[in-house]
Amino acid sequence: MPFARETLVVSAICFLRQSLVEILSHAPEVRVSGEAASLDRAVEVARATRPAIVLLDAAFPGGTQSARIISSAASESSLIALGIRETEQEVLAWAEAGAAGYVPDTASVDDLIALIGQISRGEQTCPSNIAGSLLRRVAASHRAAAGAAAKPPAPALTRREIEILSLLGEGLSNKDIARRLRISLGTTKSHVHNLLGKLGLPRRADVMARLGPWTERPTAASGRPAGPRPNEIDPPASFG
Amino acid sequence: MCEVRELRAILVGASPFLADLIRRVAEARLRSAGVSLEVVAEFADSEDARRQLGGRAADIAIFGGARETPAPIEGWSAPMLGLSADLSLIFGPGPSDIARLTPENLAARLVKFSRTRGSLLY
Repeated sequence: MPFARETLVVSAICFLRQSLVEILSHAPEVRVSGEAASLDRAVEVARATRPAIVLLDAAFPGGTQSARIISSAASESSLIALGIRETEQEVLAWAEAGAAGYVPDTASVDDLIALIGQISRGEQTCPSNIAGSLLRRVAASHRAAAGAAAKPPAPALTRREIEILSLLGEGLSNKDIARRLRISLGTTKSHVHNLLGKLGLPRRADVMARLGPWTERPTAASGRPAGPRPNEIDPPASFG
Repeated sequence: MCEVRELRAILVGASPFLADLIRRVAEARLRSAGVSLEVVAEFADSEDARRQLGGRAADIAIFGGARETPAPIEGWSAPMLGLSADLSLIFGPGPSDIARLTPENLAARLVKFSRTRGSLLY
């Protein structure tokens, strides 16, 4: 007899859930360890029973978002999306939500039982266009990761340079910065020169252009920047 | 020897998966009640089924994706059941008959019809 996989059946539809539990209970490849009709219950049962398989009805409220929550609660389980439309978009969405496999809406009950066995062995039968789409997505993710790794490391800025960076982002002149920081104009120019050199930017206007969303603005309530203090943050990655 | 009756059913507008579920959960329950369920035809399209049901020899028709008890069809006198699209409700056979769709409720209706409509096999 094949090894029976502990399976949690999750569906808000009573007829579907009860029917699946009943049918799967007679399949030697599967052992139903629980059932759940709500997300809370699914998470609770998944944590308590740690099933090998979570069979999630694709029509479950919350769809892929619920899949993410259940997947993170049952990180050792393989989540199978039941009854999805076999389109590239749908399959990718469920894969990105943590599904280890899927059962298309055209499958029979026998197909479902066979697919549970396949998926729990790390296999998945799918059309060539879906396989191609998944490969393209993996390749694109790899390129993005490689691109990020190839970027030079962010320059190490001193606390004073980070303060000046922030003030440049606010559009202050060297004279205003010197006044704000109570340092001489010559020292300010020196700091700005060094800062631009570290960031590889030719002009101070480029700092403002690239600083964009990172610029800290004083909050209305406190008058101090809403974000972390300058010495608590690293230079923005976009400068790398 | 126990008496066994046959109930011939037609499924309309049910996906292959739903048809499979209905067949499996109903068969087991009907068997224990001495009824053999035979799905004699399946129609994917409801309108197509309505045109063709009149000439079919069957004891019951089950419609998927229903909002109410299926409307009468000319030339078809057997009872009809409707299953709501979200599979939460079962409609029929009477216009005001509505119940929660569960394997038990579906099978109970089929067993009931088998007593009046089904043919005696042996």
